[in-house]
Amino acid sequence: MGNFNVEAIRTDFPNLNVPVHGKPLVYLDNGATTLKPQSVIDAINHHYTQETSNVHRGVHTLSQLATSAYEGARVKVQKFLNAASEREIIFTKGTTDAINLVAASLGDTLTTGDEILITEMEHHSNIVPWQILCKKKGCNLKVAPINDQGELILDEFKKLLSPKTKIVAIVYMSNSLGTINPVEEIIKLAHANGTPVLLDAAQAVSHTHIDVKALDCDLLAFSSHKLFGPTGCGVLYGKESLLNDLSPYQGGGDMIEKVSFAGTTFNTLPYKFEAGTPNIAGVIGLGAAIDYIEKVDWEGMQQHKKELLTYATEQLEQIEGLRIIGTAVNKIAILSFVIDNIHAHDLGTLIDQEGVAVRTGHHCTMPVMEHFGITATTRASFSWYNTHEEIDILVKAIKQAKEIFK
Amino acid sequence: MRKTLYHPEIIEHSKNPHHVGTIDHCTHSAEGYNQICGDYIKVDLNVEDGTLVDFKFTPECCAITKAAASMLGNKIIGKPISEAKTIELDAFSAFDVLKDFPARIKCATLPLATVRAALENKKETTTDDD
Repeated sequence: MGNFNVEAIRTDFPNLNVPVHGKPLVYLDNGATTLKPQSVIDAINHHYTQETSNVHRGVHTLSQLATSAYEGARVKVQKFLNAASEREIIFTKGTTDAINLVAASLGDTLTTGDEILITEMEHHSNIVPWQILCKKKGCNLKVAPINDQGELILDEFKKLLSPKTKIVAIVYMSNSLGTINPVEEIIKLAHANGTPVLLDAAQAVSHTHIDVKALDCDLLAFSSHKLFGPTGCGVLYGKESLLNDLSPYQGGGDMIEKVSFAGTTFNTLPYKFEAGTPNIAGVIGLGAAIDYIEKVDWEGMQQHKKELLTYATEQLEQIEGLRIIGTAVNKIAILSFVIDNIHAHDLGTLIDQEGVAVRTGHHCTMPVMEHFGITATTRASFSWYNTHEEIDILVKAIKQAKEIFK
Repeated sequence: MRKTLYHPEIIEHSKNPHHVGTIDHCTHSAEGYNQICGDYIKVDLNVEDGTLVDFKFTPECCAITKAAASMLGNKIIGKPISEAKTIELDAFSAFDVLKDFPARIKCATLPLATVRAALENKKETTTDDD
């Protein structure tokens, strides 16, 4: 495991010390949101206690400090993603907001009969904005199917690419199945077709080192809160040339160059897409989260999570009547499962009594549930602060729950 | 397990629910969706002369919803519809413990809301409507 030290990492996350129902917290809901390290909490606290101010256009000291911290975070994100310029980093409310931005602004350029290509494993946030756009513009939403392992059927995806395909919007790593999509190949195929690609990297951002230049994706969205940062803040990365061609998403302060009743000219990138006072503390918190992540032994962390997934899969597979949903060859540390005779919600409530936090339900992927003929799964999603002992506690709690419903 | 939501009566009803099925040519029917989790229940009712004479349900849901529907059926068959429509969760003491599990209250109220919707000739309801 190299220099990666899970016990040392755990001391950075104060929420891990808060018992649940008198038991130590076993936090396995990282796919929904990750816990926050003390340094992120401190950065937000510092902003509100030491340099509360609005950003941009302020000449006073606090405003300059806040602006410098806010724009400093943009540079951190740019370097973290290996983007060519900070002008390619747009701060949003989160992944959903970023996708809606693209659907609205890129959607403006679409006309009747144009097609948007997604997959069957998308989160609702990468389905519904496109459905709304299709209804408004008379476009068609095409859906590439998955197989019973929860993997994209690439041949079917290829068949759906056509001259009418104006954007491919695809999840990098599935939140409900754990599948890692072959995005490099998808991007090459789409580009050969002349189609830009938007990656939903909400899960991917904490599981892999994203390099937007190497990937050559045109657009990429992620949320701060799944990357150890605060909620209500996220990022849309976009190639500068593409973003320059798009119309603004929302109108308001900060996104303008000059306003008069005769007409308004818009600000340059990235501000063209950041109307109104942004989530300043959130962005500063995201910057602190990136600082934190950069210090971690990334290779060791990846290996640790791989071992957790292998161990958890082995242990869960031994439970009679348990079926894992999502068995892709390439997977992140997310385990969705169903158990005979126990509904996910009942299991979730029962194991919560043992301090184990998991997510239950459709995970905002109802079409995935439909594919597998189920309405809900229980999902354990792991992060680098999780341990093998916590998996043992999960397994024991599931076995106790099974006793109640046997 | 510490405080348990799973009272023996709830477990028994969820394992062996009463009134599961459908009614052909029923007088009232509605579907209920739990917005929180995607759970589903369909309720078929027969009403004669203002009295609810039959109740069946189709469950795709958790133990709490299933047990609540099963107990609800036992309680409302033979009752005037005015009574069936106004029945509340506090009529079932097994669910008193739900005050300690607020995230699960809507699981138990879904069958009540669905019966109410059916009696009001609505085709469907959601947990947001109750």
